[in-house]
Amino acid sequence: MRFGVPMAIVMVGLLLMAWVFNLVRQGRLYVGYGVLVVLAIAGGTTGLVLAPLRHRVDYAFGALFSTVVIAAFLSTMAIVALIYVLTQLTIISNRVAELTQQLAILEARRGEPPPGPGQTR
Amino acid sequence: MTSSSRRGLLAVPAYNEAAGLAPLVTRLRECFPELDLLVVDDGSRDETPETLRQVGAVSARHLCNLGYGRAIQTALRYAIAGHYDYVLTVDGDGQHPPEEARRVLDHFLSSDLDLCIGSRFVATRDYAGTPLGRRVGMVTFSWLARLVTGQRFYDTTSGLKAMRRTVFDPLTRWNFVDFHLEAIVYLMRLGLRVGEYPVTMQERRHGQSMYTLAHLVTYPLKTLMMVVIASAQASLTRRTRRP
Repeated sequence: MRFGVPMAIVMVGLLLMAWVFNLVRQGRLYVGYGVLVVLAIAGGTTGLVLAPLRHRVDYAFGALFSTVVIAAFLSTMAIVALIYVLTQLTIISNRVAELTQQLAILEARRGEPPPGPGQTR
Repeated sequence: MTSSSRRGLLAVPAYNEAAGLAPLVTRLRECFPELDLLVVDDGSRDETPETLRQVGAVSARHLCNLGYGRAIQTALRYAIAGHYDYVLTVDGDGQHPPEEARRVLDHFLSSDLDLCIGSRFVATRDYAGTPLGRRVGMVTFSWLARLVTGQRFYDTTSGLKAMRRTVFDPLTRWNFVDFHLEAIVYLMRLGLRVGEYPVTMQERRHGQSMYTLAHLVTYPLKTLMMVVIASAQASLTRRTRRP
C-alpha cells in the first residue's frame, strides 16, 4: 500500500503522457497544447507522489483517510477532458489550415503566367 | 537530368512585409531569372497583397495567419502540384541577401544533398553577436542535433534553405513547428541527406520578428517535443517501408 498508490499514479501519468505524444505524432493534438498537457501531467504526478505534498493535500482537505487516490482520479479525469477538448480544437484548426492552404494554392495557380512552349503544368 | 533542365521554385514566406517586399522581389528576379517566384502571404494585415499585385508576383495568400511552418508547407504543396524539382526558400524580411541565396543554390545543385541550409555560423562555429537567449538555444539545439542524428548543425533556425523533391512529400505529410530542428531530425532519420553551407545574413530591415518573449519559453519546449516525436515517427515510417 505504501508504494502501491504512488506507483499506480506514476503509471497513469506515464500512460497519459504516451497518449499525448501519440496524439501529437498523429497530428491530432497541436504540439503547443501537447507541451502544456505534458507539463500538467508531470507536475500533477510529482505533486501527488511526493510524500510531503501528499500530507499537505490530506491536511488541506482535513481528510480522515488519504485523499491522494481521489485527487489522482479527479486530476486524471480533468486531464482526459482537457485532452479531448484540445484534440477537437486541433482537428478543426487543422481542417481550417488545410482549406486555407488549398485556397491559397488555387489562387496562386490561377495567377501564374501561362506555360511557355514545351512547358507542362 | 542537368541542373538547367530542372525546374526550380523560389518561395518567399511573408507576413506584414509590405515595406521591403517590392525591392526584395525585384532583386530576387534579377538574381534568379531561371526560377519561378512564389510569395506566400501568410495572412498579412498590412499592404502586402497590394504590393505583390503591383510588382506582379505570383502569390499564395492565406486568408488567416497560419504561421511560418504552414507557409513553407504551402510552398512545398504548390511545388508538388507544379511538378517542381527543387525549392529555394528565402525569408520575406530581407535578411537573406539574394547573392548569398544564389551561392547556397549553386552549392546545393552541385551536391547530392536533399536539404541544404544557409548557415550563419557553420564557417566560424561561433555564435558571437547573437543575443544570449538565442545563443543558449542554438548551442542546445546544435548539441541535440548531434545527439540524435550524429551530425552537428550550427544554424537550425535559418530560413534560407534549398530542398530537393525528395523532401517535399515527407515535409508536407506531417506538421512541423517551424521547419527547424525537428524537420532536420525527421529527414535525417528517414535517411535523407542534410547539410549546411556558410552564408552571411543581414539584420531585418522592416517589419517585426516572429520571435516574441513568449517564444523564448514555448519554442524550445515545442521543438524538443517535436524532435522526440519526429525521431519516433521516422523510425515507424522506415519500418513500414521495409519489404
